[in-house]
Amino acid sequence: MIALALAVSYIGMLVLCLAMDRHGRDVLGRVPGRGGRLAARLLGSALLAGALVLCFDRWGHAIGTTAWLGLVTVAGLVLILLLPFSVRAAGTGARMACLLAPLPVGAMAMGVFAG
Amino acid sequence: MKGGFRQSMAWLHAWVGILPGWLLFAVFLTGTIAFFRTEVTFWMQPELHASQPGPETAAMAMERLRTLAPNAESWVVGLPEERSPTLSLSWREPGAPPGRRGLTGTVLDAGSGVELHPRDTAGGNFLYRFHYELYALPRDWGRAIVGIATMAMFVAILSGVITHRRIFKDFFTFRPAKGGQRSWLDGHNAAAVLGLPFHLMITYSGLVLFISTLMPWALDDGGRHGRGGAPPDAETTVEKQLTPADLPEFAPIGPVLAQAEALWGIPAGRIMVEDPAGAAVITLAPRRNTRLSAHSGSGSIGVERLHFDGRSGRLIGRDDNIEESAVQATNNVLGSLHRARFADTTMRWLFFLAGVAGTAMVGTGLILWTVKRAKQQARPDGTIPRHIEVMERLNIAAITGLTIAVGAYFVANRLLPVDMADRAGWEIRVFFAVWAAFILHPFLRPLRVGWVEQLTIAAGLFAAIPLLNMAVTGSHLFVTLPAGSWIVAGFDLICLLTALGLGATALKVAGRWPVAAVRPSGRGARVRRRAVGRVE
Repeated sequence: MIALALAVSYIGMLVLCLAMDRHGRDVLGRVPGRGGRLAARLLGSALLAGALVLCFDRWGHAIGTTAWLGLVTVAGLVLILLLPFSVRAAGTGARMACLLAPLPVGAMAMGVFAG
Repeated sequence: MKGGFRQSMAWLHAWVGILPGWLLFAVFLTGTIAFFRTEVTFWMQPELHASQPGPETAAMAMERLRTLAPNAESWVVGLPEERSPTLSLSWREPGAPPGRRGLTGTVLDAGSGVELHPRDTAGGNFLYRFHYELYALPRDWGRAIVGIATMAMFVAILSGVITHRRIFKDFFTFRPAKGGQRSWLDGHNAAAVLGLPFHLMITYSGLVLFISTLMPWALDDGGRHGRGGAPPDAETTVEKQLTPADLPEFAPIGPVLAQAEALWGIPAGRIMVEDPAGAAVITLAPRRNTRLSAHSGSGSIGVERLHFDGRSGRLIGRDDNIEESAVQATNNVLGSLHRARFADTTMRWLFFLAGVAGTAMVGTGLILWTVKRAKQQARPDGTIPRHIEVMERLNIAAITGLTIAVGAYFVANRLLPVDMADRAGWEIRVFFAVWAAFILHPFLRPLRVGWVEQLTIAAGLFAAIPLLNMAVTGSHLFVTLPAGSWIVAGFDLICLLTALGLGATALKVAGRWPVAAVRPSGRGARVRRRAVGRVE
């Protein structure tokens, strides 16, 4: 459950970040269009909201909110430390960054099976 | 101060940040470690590491107290839990003074019941206390100094948010390859903005915890903060000596603990028995708070209490200690958040990681201060003004110097003779002696050399800790990982990670960072050139 909440927070932050000019260009190789940007922002926000619900479920409202802020912070820190590599690694760099997504999906599966 | 609101705030941010900054770095670093203070103390006592709780631990504890202390007025059992898997027993002999001083106690292996004799150590507690009252200063002075620095931190956070022009645009921006001021600014912004909820919470709640030090006149008792306590109860007299056989039988403790766990949702952490030879009331407390608004007190145990009849095992009372007053509840929430009193292991890691981000924020802020001024005020011949050099040397002393001192503190714990007199005191002396040496060191070396040498020494020290564990204790990674002893293994792994990070930084500062040496070519390089071209 915690791994799932962390994975959802991470994907949420990643999607929000890809809606921005600089990171869209660095990771996907193109600046997102207006529609894509809006869609990414909505999806990213929805995922973060989903993570909040998971935290409520696990910890209740008061401690759940605290845990959610912590998870989103840690997810953001992990993302920000990984992003430079997508710029640095030549050629396959952009695609390598997109490979980041399956990592949390693995964690998500682990979260589901571990209950 | 120049005109304009944002400029004023930038000026305020820089000065309110740098002046107490070195102290704030120490507070953040030691405070972050202190989230794991119990675990750190456990690591520092390898004699305890083999303890593994079993299903009969609690029953064994009750049996043992009957033999050890049949005459005691009360018994206290500290049950093994995820933060420390040992069993601690203590009791109050008739006529003993109130409070902790009157307790006699021992620590047992929670599985075998063998009495353990852990080495004397200052433990995680030293780092914990240092982070809010420093050391060897009168208690109120230490607290007042850290309290004023905390206020400055709070001002620095607020002015920093106003100063940061592109807070949303640069939300995820970190460009370590760019080098110089830009990279430091990115790092500072990233650590500050992403961790902002934590930084605001920890700083503000820290201020509230200092309230009786900073505003003693606001309290009803005129600033004595209720210290001193009640005079000892003089009417206790010893009537007769009991033997273990004189004590009546207790109800099995297992079902009593199971009832409590069913009611609270988490296991009990402490068993207290009042008057074991007579009324024998068993009181249980949960291992941690489950509500944010519960009193965060000065112990990691939860505030709820369940009372049982010791002979029948029947539940006879429940006390949830719910806070009635909203003001007190608010105060409790802030204290609970600061001390992570309600945190399970996952939450504790989140607090720790956010604390690492806070430490990085203060550290990068300090470095940024000198990097920026060195660039602005560099003379045509490339030299920088003397006062900026001094500031940078103090940065080395505060950032890597303290890191080395912390590493040396852990190394001393493993190397000082186990039966040494005042051993805990010597651990602390090693900490300060090493720190003093590395405060002096940067003043004797060229700037870059000072950084590289200290980073290398720090990396070496932290890498040495898990290795040293292999040489002088039986609980090293090859034992703790297969056994699943995550407290000890986690400590060693964090040391290795810290060593890697420090070593990588040393290489980077020395100009031998492998990644930066990659020549831009192909598609990635185009992306990179465009990215470079776009920024100011």
